[in-house]
Amino acid sequence: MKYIVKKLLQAVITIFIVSVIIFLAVRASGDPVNNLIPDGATKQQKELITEQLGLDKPLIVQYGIFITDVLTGDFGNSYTSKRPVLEVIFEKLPYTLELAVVAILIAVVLTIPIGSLAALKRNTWIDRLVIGISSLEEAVPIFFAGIFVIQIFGVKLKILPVSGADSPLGIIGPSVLLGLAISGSMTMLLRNNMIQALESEYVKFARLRGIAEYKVVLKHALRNSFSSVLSFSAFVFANLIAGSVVIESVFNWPGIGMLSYNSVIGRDFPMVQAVVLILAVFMIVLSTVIDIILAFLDPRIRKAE
Amino acid sequence: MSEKLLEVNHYSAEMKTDGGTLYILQDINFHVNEDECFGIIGESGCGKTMTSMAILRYGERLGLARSGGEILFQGENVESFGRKRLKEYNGKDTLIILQDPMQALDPLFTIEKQLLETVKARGGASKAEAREEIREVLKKLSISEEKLKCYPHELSGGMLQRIVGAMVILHKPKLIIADEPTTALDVSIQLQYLKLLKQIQKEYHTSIIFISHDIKVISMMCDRIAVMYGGRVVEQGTKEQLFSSPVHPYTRALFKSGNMGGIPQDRYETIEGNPPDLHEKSEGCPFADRCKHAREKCHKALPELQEFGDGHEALCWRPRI
Repeated sequence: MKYIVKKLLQAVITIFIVSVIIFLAVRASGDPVNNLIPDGATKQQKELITEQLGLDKPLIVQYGIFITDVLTGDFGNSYTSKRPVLEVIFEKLPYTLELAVVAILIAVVLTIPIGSLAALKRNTWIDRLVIGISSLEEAVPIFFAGIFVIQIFGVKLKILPVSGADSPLGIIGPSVLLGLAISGSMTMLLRNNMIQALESEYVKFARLRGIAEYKVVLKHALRNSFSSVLSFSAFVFANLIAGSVVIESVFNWPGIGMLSYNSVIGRDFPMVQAVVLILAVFMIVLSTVIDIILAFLDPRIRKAE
Repeated sequence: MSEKLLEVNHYSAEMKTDGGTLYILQDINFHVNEDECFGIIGESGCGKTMTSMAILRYGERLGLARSGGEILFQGENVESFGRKRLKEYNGKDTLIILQDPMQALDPLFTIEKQLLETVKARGGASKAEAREEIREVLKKLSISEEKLKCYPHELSGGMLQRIVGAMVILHKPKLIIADEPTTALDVSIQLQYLKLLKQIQKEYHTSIIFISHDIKVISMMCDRIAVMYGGRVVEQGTKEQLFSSPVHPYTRALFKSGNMGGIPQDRYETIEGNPPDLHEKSEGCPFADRCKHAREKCHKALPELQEFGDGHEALCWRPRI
């Protein structure tokens, strides 16, 4: 319990630091007013807009306003669409979350049996086949595979929608592709950790105590290798939420990846700040949750903390 | 004369590696009687541990392949064991005590869970009976019940090795293989642990194969002893025979280096040179290159086994009598 409180406190401090960095980084990226005024606007018009947006005040005051607004749940309106940024973000976020969760589930479901099998059948043709396929999954660029999938299943066979999230089947193409791409490295990770576990003294001792082989594999070897897969999933999940721009654009998926890309290009300060801050909070919460789960799985972590 | 529990008859085994074939065990020949402690002594890499792995049928998992001979447990060839019999053999008939108890237990499970698992593998007890049995064994070893809720990393090496001792008692095996069980322990608790093993042996009439490189420990524990060198048993006999009149130059050197065996001396001696390369099947005596008494013959031909009294035999052309 003490461990959890400590982790949460650390999370709050991290979020504060992140908010400062985002605030400064966004302002260091250039003046948004140039993007908002029409060509040939006068200096006075420009100053007026700057004043309206509050960008004429000292940085520290601007940050004060920003953080009080954020704490009251107000992230401001988008410079470009004029809509509240939170509204826009929460419209897009579920799509990205859905894609990430389904993709990771696919990867985990593939990884556990395949990675374990490769480790158990080490140095046989099965193992080599798994290694080969995994490398392929990692190596093929996702936009290329995406176009391929759209061509075959969408255009030729017409089983899946070509793009978008309008049909419930729309998730299949991007999530399976992402899942396969992730399962490549995840399978190798599990295989290698599992080989180590299978060679360990505790597995040897368990077998020599006459414990049934399936129990040795599932209870001792797999459980000891699983925490690495879990940490890796969290890392991948975080990356997917923040950076699935490529897959989202190939499949025209209306998620957060597209949104953040467009708002950075348009210097939409409130939108960028909100997106990055929400993602940062999301990741900190995620990593805290994962830390707690890992501590639950491994008594040694509980002790160390 | 007591019954033979385990017979290792002219057993040889090899291991194929990227660097060629390793001749790990060559013509190993010994037996273990019921109710006796049999010692195997030798330097690291001489084949002590591999012998125990072969006996427990774990050798094949490590890539060790039999190339000759047989291992009989109560007259049954262990290689003929099917899956079910093997599980029983590992789960009921035998138990190994590994060198490092810190690594032998799974870090993610409590002591209680791992003890329960041991009873379950042995069979013949309900969960409630198993709990009761565990409680009794802990009492016997004066381990407090609080330790049951602990994870392995929370306990000391000595305590963990005693937990393994508890597993032995729960297992009630006919044969314990103790592979350097005290090497990883504090010197202060080594003796205590050896006494515990002796007590288990007496009380449950278990046989022990005690593997060590420490002559003092071997002399304390064992009734009969085999000396291994380069994958072969070079001398064996009762403790008295070996300690009062060791005949193989390697045995003598080993005793000298450990300041044992009634050989008067004023300082410890070392054995020059390195153990043999197991990649080559030596033509002559495996110890010839390091032996002070070696002659041409020793390098050219493998010595014949010579008897020096009841059960005392050595593999040497020029035994020191």
